[in-house]
Amino acid sequence: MDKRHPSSFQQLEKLGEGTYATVFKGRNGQTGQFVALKEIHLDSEEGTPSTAIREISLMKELKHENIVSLYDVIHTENKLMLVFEYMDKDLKKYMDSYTSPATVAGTSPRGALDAVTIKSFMWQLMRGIAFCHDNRVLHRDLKPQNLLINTQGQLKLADFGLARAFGIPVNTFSNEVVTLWYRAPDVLLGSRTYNTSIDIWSAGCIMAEMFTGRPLFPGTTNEDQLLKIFRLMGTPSERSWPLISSFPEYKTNWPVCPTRELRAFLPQIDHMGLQLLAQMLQMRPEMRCSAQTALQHPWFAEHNARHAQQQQGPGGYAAAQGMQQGTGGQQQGQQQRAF
Amino acid sequence: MAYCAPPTPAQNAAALDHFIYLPVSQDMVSYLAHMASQVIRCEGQALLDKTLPPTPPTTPPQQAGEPLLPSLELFINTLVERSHVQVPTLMTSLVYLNRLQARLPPVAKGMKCTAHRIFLASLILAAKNLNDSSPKNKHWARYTAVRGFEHFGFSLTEVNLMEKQLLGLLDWDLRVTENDLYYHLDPFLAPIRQWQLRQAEKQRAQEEMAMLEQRRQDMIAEQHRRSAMDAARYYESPRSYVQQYAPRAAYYAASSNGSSRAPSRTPSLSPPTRSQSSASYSSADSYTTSSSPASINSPYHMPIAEEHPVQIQQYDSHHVPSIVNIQAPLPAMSKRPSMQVIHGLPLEQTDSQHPAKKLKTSTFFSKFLPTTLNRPGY
Repeated sequence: MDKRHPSSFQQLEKLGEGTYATVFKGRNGQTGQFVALKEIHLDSEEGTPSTAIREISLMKELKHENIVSLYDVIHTENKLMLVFEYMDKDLKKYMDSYTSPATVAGTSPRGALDAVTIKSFMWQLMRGIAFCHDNRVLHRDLKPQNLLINTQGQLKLADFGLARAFGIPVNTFSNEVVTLWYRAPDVLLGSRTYNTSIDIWSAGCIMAEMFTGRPLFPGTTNEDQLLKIFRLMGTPSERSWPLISSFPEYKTNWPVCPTRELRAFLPQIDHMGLQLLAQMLQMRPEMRCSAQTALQHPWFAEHNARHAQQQQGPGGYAAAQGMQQGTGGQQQGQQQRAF
Repeated sequence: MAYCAPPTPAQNAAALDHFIYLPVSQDMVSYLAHMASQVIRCEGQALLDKTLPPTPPTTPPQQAGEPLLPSLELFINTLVERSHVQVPTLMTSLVYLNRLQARLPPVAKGMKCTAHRIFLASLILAAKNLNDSSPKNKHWARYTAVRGFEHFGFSLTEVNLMEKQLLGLLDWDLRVTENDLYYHLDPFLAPIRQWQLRQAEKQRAQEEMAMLEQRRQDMIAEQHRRSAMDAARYYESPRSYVQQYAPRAAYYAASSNGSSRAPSRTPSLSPPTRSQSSASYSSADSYTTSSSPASINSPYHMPIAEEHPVQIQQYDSHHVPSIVNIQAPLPAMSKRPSMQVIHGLPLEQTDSQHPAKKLKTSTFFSKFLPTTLNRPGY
């Protein structure tokens, strides 16, 4: 495929380190444009990691404004380099460095974002997820670190290393997916037949975290994670969750916790937002709303209306975008040539 | 067989759902071997007469200094046996074989074991793409050791390279859709679909027959009832006539809702009972307490006559197919399935079989065989 050498990109500072890859900021030697370089070390015993195989084959197809773009793949002897669109920071860092007026005033905890930003991020997050699900892809590792934010306030899904296609009956699934804190109860209970609803659970956890500045369920082990969830959502039983006892990790000696009000934990969220959150954080996977349903929730009415307006106005949106992105558009052009 | 309309997605889905639970069969292996050998023409591969049914490539004759090459079938069988790969993964490699063939120019030519390499790389990519855990390449390298061919086998370096090359040739396009599977697995899905259709038709016919029989019985009953009533009403004598029908009339009147009894009255027509969903019978009791026990002797009725109509339904819709299913489609594939099967596929038309010997120019694709690696024979 591509014969270009990795040296056509100038490697700058390290942006992060994942389980199987290191990400650097990079600069395209020809265009000067910033990129993110994801370097995957190739273990000769394993060959090309299946995570990389899936990430590349999936991202080549998932072209959406709320999904980070894969520009190029450079496969050399001992490493594999993925060239991605550059984003300024991830949501975790964004939250860590964010000081809202409310925080200054002492009415909001540190790390919490303001309501307007949260709604915008959630809308973009759900759009990205909906696009994946519509294209039959499960992300399986949604968390603040994997959501990237740029200076224009755009949010994009990244790191599809755990993602995979679903919907064809020839797959086998592992339940070792999703970072513990964002892992859905059905996966914690050992399900291998989970579906798109596991991404919705993660999105719910992220939404709560943006409001409080703290992870909603910061468990230490699989077991502890379940208990933290039970303490808020109530311990499930056959009555609240038929057939729960058939899950591999079902225990009869769980402490019995009553269901508590989400509001008590999240006083910051407005009524409608709380309603949406409650639909995402359902214990039973089949009760969780879909990404498309979430997008239709009245909480997003304003965003949807603005979006619809931008879409239809003849020349309205496109022209405005073009003008707004004057320089950006040019960069885009250079990019095209470069890759 | 008479069924010619293109299959619906639902029919394909049902057939695929059935197919993926089958054990790996020799038919599948032969078909894979054939398709792998068609991807690219390999050195030393016998040219096939197109008018004859295709035969699997022969084992090339042993040449001095060259290790013996196992046939593709033996190679695939060994991989299947040692990796325990299941049908879904194994057969998805077909999608990649075909995708690669479509991307190679027809003049592409490989070396003797290119087909072996292409197949192995396709299988590895299918395994990595479809399964959350799969063997590492070092394991795959080990699985390539074929009994009786001591000098054959691929090293880890070679396996890594063929994987990388296939990724490049496919441009990382590894997505597999249902339609890909329906298309490429059609030779295997078609007989399953036909079998499933026949089953469905049989079921429908049986239900219809039962319904007709039901109606017939009802009509007879009604006639008898009427004539008995008429007889009673209009003819005062002969008394014997009334007596003859009256009991029956009473009997039918009493059981007017007991329609379920009807089939049991004509055992010769009642084989359908077994497959009729028990739901169509209002209650099992109508059998056990039926007032016409004499007619219930038909063996068909025995299971139902007991008391678990629901279970019987399960038995029908579950166990029987799953037992029958495994066997049924296979005989349909017959002894030489790869031939019939192969004729139906469009991939046959590659003229890679013709450009023949003169094109001995080693093309860029023969790089699929890293001749520089430690096995110069390949």
